[in-house]
Amino acid sequence: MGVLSLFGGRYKRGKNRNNGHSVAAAQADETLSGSLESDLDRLCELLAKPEDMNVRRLQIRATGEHAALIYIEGLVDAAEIHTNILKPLLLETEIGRQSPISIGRVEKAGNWSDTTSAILKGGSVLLVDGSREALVMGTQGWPQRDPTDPKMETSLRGAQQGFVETIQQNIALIRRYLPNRELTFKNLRVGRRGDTQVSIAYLADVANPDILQELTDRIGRLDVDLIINTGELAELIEDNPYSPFPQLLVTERPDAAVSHIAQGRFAVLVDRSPTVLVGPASFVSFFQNIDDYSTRWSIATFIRMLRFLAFFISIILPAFYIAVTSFNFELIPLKLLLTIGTFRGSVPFSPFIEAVFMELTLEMIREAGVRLPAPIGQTVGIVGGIVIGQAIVQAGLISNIMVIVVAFTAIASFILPNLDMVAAVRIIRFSLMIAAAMFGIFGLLVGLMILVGHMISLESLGTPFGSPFAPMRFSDWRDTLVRSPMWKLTRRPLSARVEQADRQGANRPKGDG
Amino acid sequence: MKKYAFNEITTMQFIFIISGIAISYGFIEIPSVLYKKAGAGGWITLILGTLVTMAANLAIVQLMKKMPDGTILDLLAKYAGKWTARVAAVACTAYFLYFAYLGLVYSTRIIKARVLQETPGFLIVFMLLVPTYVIARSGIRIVGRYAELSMWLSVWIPFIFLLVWKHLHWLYLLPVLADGWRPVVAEVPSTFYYFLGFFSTAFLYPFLIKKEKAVLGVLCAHMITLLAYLFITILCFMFFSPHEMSTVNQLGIYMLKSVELPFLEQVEGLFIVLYLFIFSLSWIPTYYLTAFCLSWLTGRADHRPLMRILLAGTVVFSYFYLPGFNTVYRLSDWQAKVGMGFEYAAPVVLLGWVLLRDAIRNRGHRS
Repeated sequence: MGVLSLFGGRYKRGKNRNNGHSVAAAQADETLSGSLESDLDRLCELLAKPEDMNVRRLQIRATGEHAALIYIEGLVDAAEIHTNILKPLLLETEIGRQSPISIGRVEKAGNWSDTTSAILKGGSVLLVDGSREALVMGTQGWPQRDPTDPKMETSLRGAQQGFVETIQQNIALIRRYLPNRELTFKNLRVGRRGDTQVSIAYLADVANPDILQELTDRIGRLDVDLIINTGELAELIEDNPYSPFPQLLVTERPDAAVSHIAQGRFAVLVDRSPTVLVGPASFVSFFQNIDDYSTRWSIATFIRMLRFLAFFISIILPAFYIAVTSFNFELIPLKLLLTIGTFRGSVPFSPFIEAVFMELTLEMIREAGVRLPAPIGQTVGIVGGIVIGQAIVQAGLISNIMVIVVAFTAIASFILPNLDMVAAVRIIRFSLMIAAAMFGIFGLLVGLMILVGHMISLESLGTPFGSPFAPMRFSDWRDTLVRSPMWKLTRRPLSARVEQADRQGANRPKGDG
Repeated sequence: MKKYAFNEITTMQFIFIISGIAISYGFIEIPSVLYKKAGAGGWITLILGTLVTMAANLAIVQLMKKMPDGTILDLLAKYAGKWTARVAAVACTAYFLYFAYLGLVYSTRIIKARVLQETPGFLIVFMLLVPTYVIARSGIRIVGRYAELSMWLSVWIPFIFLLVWKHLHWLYLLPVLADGWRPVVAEVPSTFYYFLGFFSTAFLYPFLIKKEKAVLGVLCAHMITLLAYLFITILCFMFFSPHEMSTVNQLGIYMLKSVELPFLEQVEGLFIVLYLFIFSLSWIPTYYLTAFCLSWLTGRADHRPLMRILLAGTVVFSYFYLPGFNTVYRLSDWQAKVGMGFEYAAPVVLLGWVLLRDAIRNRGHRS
């Protein structure tokens, strides 16, 4: 009786999308020959014998069979292979009813495509002379990062763990928050070459099955080479890729993702990517932050409103400045107009040129700050500050008022909690500036009408993006412009189209009781 | 069989589409019309007009109950044959297109007169039609959401008008019935023009999710229209002296000239622009309905190509000719006459005929 016969299960094949795309794939269903030497030759041929692949020949002591253990060095946990595979195979003298290999996940593979893909994904393969099946052992152990504090979505009171690059760990992070039988992970595979694992996490008894079907269909239809990041997946599956608005939330916080899952939404985890997609999203969900729920409701409400105000300021303020200074002088009070006139008098450019120039400068400074390493990044701020703040005004190229407008817009856009929404704001701001430069305040308003019209016709996974404002759903207002006290949030949002709307009971009895 | 299953509107959207179409430019025009025709008692005329309109609209709802899953065109096709329905579709297309065009031109003229004097008219038309296309191409559901949102975005309007409070003279409201009841009652039909647009009920009904609330919706819609009109009418009556009432154009806008805000010099300039959200309700739903009737006529499921042709046609036409204010008023007099027949009389006659036909047929079955 050989070592292999003790294992029942066969190595599960992922959906095979490789057909006709590579040489190795041509022999996808070619089976192992059973002779160790020819199998090893064939394997080296298929994988082109990479330098980091280790082939360890050995003789199993208990049975005397000749065998070879194959794995790729950087992808496996070497210590585990030594103690749990090599040691028992070389030292155990007898095999009882149990296999000597003490590894948790062990499966059998009968053909080359499964065997090679297992090796490339960090498994170890044991070929035994005389057996037509290979033993695949889960010895994955590539370099990993610990779940550290999320960089982009910082929180004052929230958890200090962010998602990491391994999907198993991310799933574990989510499970930690929701040890519930109904928490379900639906696994899919995406990419011809990347073969990335994608998991949809949801609460089976709460989330809407139609949305799940839609999401699964959209991901299942994808035919791409590989997915590096969640952003790519988001762009491939969102409803309207031409929209400036993001239609799916991207988060790097497990607590935020879980909070959405608990509200009946879906989280899409992508292997190798430290962010998670959440959908269906609505416009207001981009203004919510996990801290809103851990601070007192009154201040959370105030900050919510501040964010919406900031959103409007940052999209319309430069456009309004252009409209007022170049078309509609009559709108602003005379004194203010005179003040603006004093500063504008010496400026040689039209308000539009002035505004575009300053906004572009701001965008450049911001972009430079993002990409540069931290020590140099500070210099950018200083240079930008001096250039914008002082020199340009003293030289008489740009008016003081314009500098104030730009600074105000920048600060307003900084308080928006979601990066994708800030990106949308930047694009919209420039379009509105052009509209205002052409038609003044009328152009600005038509621009806003187009924006509103676009927003209400937008959908996220077939769910209205403008909810709860359009369609108007007053019961959902509890967690939008205001963040109602916790005990008032008894129902899940309608915008998630959930099966079970009740979220919690009455935690605060009415009356004297 | 549900023909329009994926395109549904809520009761609130139903209400706001109907009252939005009506209010849009009636809000600006109705005070002076009422004053000129019925004197200081004009607001009574308005209430009477609303009651008549409600009755006419309920007739449409009763009619549509005969065909809950189809529009009035489907109903006609069932009762009076395909060709009658086609003729009706042509008539509806023409009517809604005329309605939309008039609303569009009126708004363009207001914008051109008060905000953008130098800009060519067709450019303004073009600018206004871009959001129209963005909204109307996605179907009645989005039009409904837009109507709903526009109305909610405009709740500030009454408050800004209340800022004229200290300029009001209660005495101007008296005497209520200077010439007795005769002009007040006789001029009821002249208010009808400002309620037009409720014929859209005949097209909105199949899309309504809760059909049993249609009656309530219709009543609410006209109630909102009435409240808006009453508000602006009584305010204007108290603000302007009898002499000013008959000389000033667009009283509502003029009244805002007296409002002073510390951060805004000319309130009415901003008002006109922001009021575009309401103005647009006079042409966005109607352009959609035009395209809808056309696509019904041609048997296409997709109304978007027709919509593009309609809108592009409007812009091109406006490049060559854009009616002036006086022409607009003349055109709207004409529309008032057609609309009265189309929206008030025709549905009632049709309802009578359908009921009679059903009654005769039922008796035939029984005997």
